[in-house]
Amino acid sequence: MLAASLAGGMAIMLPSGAHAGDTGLVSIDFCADQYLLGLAAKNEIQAVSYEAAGLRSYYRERAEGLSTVTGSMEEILLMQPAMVLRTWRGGPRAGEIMSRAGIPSFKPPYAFDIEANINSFLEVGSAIGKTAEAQAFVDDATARLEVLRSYERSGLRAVYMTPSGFTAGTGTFVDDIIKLAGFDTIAKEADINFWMPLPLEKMVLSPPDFIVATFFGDPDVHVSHWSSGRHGVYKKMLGSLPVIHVPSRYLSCSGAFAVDAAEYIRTEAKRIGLISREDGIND
Amino acid sequence: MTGLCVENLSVKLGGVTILKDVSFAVGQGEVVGLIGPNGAGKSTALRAALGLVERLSGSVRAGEIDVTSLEPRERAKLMSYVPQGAPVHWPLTAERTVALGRVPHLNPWQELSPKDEAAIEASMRQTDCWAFRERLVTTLSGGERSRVLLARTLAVEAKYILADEPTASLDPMHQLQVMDILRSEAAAGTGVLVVIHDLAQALRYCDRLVLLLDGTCAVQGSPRDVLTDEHLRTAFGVEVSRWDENGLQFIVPNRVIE
Amino acid sequence: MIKSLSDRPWALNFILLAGLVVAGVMSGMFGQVNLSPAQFFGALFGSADNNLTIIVRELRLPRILIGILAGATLGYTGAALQGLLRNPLADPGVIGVSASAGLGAVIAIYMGVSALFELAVPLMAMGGALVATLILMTLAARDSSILTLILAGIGISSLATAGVSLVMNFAPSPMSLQDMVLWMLGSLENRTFDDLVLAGPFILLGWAIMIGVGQGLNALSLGSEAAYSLGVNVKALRWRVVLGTALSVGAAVSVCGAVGFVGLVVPHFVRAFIGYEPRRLLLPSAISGALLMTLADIVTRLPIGHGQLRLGVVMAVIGAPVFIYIIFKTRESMR
Repeated sequence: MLAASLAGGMAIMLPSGAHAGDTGLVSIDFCADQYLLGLAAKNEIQAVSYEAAGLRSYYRERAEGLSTVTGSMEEILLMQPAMVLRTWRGGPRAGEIMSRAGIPSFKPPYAFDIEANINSFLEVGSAIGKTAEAQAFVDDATARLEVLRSYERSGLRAVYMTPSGFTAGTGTFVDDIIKLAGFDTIAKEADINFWMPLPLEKMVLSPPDFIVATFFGDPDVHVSHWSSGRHGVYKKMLGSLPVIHVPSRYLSCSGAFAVDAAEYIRTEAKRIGLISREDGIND
Repeated sequence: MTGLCVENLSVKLGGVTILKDVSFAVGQGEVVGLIGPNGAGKSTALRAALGLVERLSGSVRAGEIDVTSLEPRERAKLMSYVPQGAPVHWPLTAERTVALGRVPHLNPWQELSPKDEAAIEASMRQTDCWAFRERLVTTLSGGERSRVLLARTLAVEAKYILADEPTASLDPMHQLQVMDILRSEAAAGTGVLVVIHDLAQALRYCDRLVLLLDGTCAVQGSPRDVLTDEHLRTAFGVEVSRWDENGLQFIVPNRVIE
Repeated sequence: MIKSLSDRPWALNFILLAGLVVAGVMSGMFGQVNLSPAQFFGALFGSADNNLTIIVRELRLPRILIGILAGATLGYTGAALQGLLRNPLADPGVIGVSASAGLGAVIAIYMGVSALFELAVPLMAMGGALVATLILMTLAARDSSILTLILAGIGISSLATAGVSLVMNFAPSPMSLQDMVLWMLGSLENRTFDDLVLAGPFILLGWAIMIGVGQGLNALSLGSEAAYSLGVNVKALRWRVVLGTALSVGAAVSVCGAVGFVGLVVPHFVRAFIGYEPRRLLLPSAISGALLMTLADIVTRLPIGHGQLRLGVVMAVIGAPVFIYIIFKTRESMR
């Protein structure tokens, strides 16, 4: 009786679908998921994090059907995977705990710009034995990067907005992406650095030419009761200027898919007439 | 019957019957003393007359009018109250404290009129506290404070004054002063109902006495008729000594009866 | 100087009102973009439909007006509560009314009720405030010592704050830690005219209920029995202050959070000029409360704060030391 309940208890402790002794690749957080899903084949993946199939995940279709983990060290130790990929989850001692348990793990270094972001795929690729796939990804991304950079600068100024009234200024990846897409931002002129609440008064005095927005329409987005996102002036701006809604999946994880995001912006800009057809991307 | 009439008053507090079927009256221009041992219900009777305590049964009338049918302001102008051990919660000046006595005469927005200010000054002079009218009440001595609070009651210029042991904790001079003031108020036509502990004061200053014992009215009438040795023995359990001086009678408890 | 003001309370009101107007104008001038007085008035009253008009009329004006209404409410109810409870430490924040109102508003917003109908926010905030005041009145009826009331206030505030964090954990719409802090400390950021229209009428209604309580509060200085004997309907007086406080404070909190200490600090300072009579304190406390809120709001926008200073923090920095000082001063009467 006791043994049965203990065995039952043990069964519950294992993550859904995973069996102790399976060896495969595991990613334990949302950003690590993207690397894994982007480079590895489904049958090589033991599990991804529970966020991999979420709205913000770039590769959410690829995550369908895969086992999920919550990312706690206890689960990992029980699963004994072949390799653990992580970026932000696990805690400061995660690397040490896993190496003591004999589990290989890898955490790509933080990427500070778009090129570094692209190159981190190479690093992950070599860690999980997917060098060829990684190289192909990087080559393709780099080529598209060159194409984007070759276009004429539009000169139009964009501002980035979220429903809770926040914006991304100089020094953020969003700012870099908008510039990569060929546009300017109001960040420098309005003295907006990093992430901060949108200075509504400055916007009113010198309005931007168009808006790049994300998270609008996401069901679980948080709008603070004191954010400028509640304000009528803010909503009026959204109504009166051209808006490009970028799905959040393009802008997560520090712009790992910056190239895709910039291309998306350009396509949309072409569609709504901010760029003339000839400069747009050929489909 | 004219005057303030309390009829068949019964009061129950916390399940205990404090007063049973008590009746007495205060005429305009007379001083009526409520006396009796501790716990007899004297303060309760006074407060029930004012409406501060709920009556189980009985009525309080002023002439023909039932007091409970009066508007609060009218009732306030009819009966004013000197509470026992009254607090003053804020450091007001003596004059502003006395000015509170004019509240029944003012609507919520009115400032004091010359008539009000005259009444205030008059009552403060009468109680000998006009000299320190600018001083804060919290800085006054016990005696000075009592006089200010009495002035407050006088300032109401009500038809009846109901005072609950107004001489408690006062020095002998001020005790006599307060009783003299009440007598002079009566002389001016006010009806005074006062709870008294001091038998000599009861004898000297009251026109009539009401002796309460265990919540009932044991006897009432003139001081001579009420303060007999027999009644005092029964009610207070003491033997008293009496003497005359200058045509005034004095009475003092002498010894406890075994 | 102080004595002469005591004889002419209207002089003090006039000075405070003038100060309030100046503060209001200054508040309209400062911001992400600083305007000159000419620009401010031009944008406020002019007919030009340019960007400055939008900034002044839609971004700054609601904030100024809500600050004035809320500040006046907190100052007035502080003075009224102190008169009713006969104790200089009472104020809607100390006795837990503001926190309870905050809980009501938070439940309305984050449990989705306000999505159904907007009025739910001020209504539930007023409901929360009313529950707290009723608990306190029941306690005060039996034992009105200062200690009991403050302890009750601590208990109620703690319960309300715990409630807010519970909502934070279980709410279907997400709520951040920062939101919780802002609700419990108060803020005037990004207020809109919709907020003003939603809360304004209830604030004014609460004031209307309390108009004229001054004389009764004066009489209460002598104790509730003496006040009754002076013709004051003490029960009705209590209800008017309780209801008026619940309505106006509840509505104010529903649009600017539980700003504390205003009702405590302001009557304290006004007393230094015109003495302790409760009735005289009411109007000056209202105006001073509005003035204090406006000034504190200006401080939050000064460059030293890097835009991170919150209204509630500024108010606490001013108010908490005053609170402790008053305790020291009234120590003897606390037993």
